[in-house]
Amino acid sequence: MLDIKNLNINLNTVYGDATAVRNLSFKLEKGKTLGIVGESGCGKSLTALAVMGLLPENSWSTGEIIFNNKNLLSLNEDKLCKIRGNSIGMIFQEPMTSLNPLHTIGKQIAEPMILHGKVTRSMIKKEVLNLLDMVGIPDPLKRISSFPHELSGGQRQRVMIAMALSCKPEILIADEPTTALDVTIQKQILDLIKDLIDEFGMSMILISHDLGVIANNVQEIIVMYGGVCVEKGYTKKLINNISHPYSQGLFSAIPTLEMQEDSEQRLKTIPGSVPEITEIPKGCTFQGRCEYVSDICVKNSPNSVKISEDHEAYCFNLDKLN
Amino acid sequence: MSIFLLKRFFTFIVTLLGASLLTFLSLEILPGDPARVILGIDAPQSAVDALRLQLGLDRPMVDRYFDWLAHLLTGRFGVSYTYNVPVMDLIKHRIGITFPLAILSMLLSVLVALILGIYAASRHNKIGDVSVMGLSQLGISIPNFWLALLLILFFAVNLGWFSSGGFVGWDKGFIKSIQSLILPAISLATVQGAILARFTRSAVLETMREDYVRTARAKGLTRRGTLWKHVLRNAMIPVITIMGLQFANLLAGTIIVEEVFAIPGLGRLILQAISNRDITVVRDVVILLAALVVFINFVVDVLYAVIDPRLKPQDV
Ligand SMILES: Nc1ncnc2c1ncn2[C@@H]1O[C@H](COP(=O)(O)OP(=O)(O)OP(=O)(O)O)[C@@H](O)[C@H]1O
Ligand SMILES: [Mg+2]
Repeated sequence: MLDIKNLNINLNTVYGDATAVRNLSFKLEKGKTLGIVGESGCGKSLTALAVMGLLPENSWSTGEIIFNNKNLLSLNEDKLCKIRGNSIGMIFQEPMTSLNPLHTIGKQIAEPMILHGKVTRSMIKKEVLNLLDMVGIPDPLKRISSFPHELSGGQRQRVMIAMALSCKPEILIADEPTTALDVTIQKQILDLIKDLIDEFGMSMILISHDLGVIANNVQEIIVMYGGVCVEKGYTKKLINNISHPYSQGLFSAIPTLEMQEDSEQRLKTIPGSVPEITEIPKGCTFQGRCEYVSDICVKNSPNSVKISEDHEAYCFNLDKLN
Repeated sequence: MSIFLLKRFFTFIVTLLGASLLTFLSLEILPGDPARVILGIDAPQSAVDALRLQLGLDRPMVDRYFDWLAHLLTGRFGVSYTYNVPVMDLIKHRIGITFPLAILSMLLSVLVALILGIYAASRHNKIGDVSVMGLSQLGISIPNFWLALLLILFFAVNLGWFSSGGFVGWDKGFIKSIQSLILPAISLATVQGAILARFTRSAVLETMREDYVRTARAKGLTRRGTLWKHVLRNAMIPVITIMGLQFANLLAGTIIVEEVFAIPGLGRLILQAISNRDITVVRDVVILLAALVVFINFVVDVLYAVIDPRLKPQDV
């Protein structure tokens, strides 16, 4: 249903042009879920925005984003407006600032349905109440006329979910939907999203920097680093045999229950940090932080290496690793 | 709401008290003895002393200040030294000219500024934006008295569309009256409008970068739809603040512009009263204008509460 081929996202920054996402390809079938995981600055949000056709002004993309046999990158603005919010919905990272402070919750949830002609005027209120109830907002009748500042972060994210799902899109893109929330709320929100996805038979792209969150909520995983895919595969296969050094680093950075009990044991982190987009090196993007780095990693970009059916990694040193 | 009004009324009074003190003191330190100015340089000292006594200028400053306050509070304005009529009579006539002039130029400035500012923001970095910015830069750098002269020269002297000065009087009809106010209003509005246009542009641009604007786009709204439904109202919050401040500037501007266009308004009255050391007139008119400015700010605060649900009226 969604087929991304060789997506490149270029940015015009103060330091010159840079490629923030390089040669990214993946498919999302109807009713399936896919996760994109990577540290901050890997190009996850840009990828999501590219699908929405909402990249920042100073950027442009090449490649193909095929959605229902149409290349979104070559559609005009009018056609894209008919797809956004209608066939593809999106939830953003910052629930505190993603709602218009001057409009009521009800008005904001109703907006996409009115825009895409999903309901008649007389049914709007009932529909909004349903949605509020569906995302677990208590007392919908009262909340429908509340303003965003009267809601907690978790509730605002629930409102965002109601808004993104109001037109029953085929794909939901959730860009770090829980990063800004309390740990206790995080699980509730993720469970809610998962339940609704199942209920409506929607596809989902879930974005997170937390491999644990991704592994628990999606069927297929893409690990990104420095704007490229370094490993991808079906969740079970990938998690059982994490192959790329970066994915391994991400995995060992997940806190486990035992660790919390035993405070002596420190969380392992990957040394160094994600390069700025203008400083992404030639060859393997992870070379600067990889303990297995060799000459070839600096010279060439690694090709896909098949680990097993439906599981591949992009690394020259896979044999050394195992 | 009543608490809100009470609080605002209190601020209103305190601000006016401050303004009255400032006005009074600044007139006290103005060089030149009013009695001497009224009677002329050649008048004998005994006559000057007699007039000082009559005007009450011999009494201590503090007494005179409180006298004046008491008069203001009871609504009794003073009597002009030079015109020999109650200040109230002088004001009554002129406020009917200055106030419409201020409103007219405020309307002009706001209308043009909003249209240009929003237009420029929606064409960010394109030719339309650049032209508006250039135009507004020009508008800001032209002094209003000079613009007034240019307007007179062009529209009154060369084209003969408007009169070159004076005010026909409201009894000559609405259209005629507005016609004689239009050139002064334009020369007052230009600088304010140019500043406001730039401000509107940057407020709109800033709002367009907000997360909720991206949300609106993700819902499927077009750029234009987003601008009208989500950006403008949010962007108006800072713009209204500036409008309130500009109103004070505008009133101050009338002093010069009324002089250039020979319009018998409050501005001109103040200017003449100052040069005649007609202190009663100056301070009564100044305090009236101060009250007007404070009142406008009150209106701005109410507007805030209407626009922004995050502000409860009590917080304003
Ligand atoms: N408009 C822009 N101008 C310049 N650089 C940008 C712009 N938007 C994003 N970038 C840069 O592109 C890179 C990728 O950004 P992106 O937002 O996709 O990261 P991300 O993986 O979503 O990270 P996070 O977890 O912080 O959300 C970052 O280095 C970021 O600084
Ligand atoms: Mg992001």
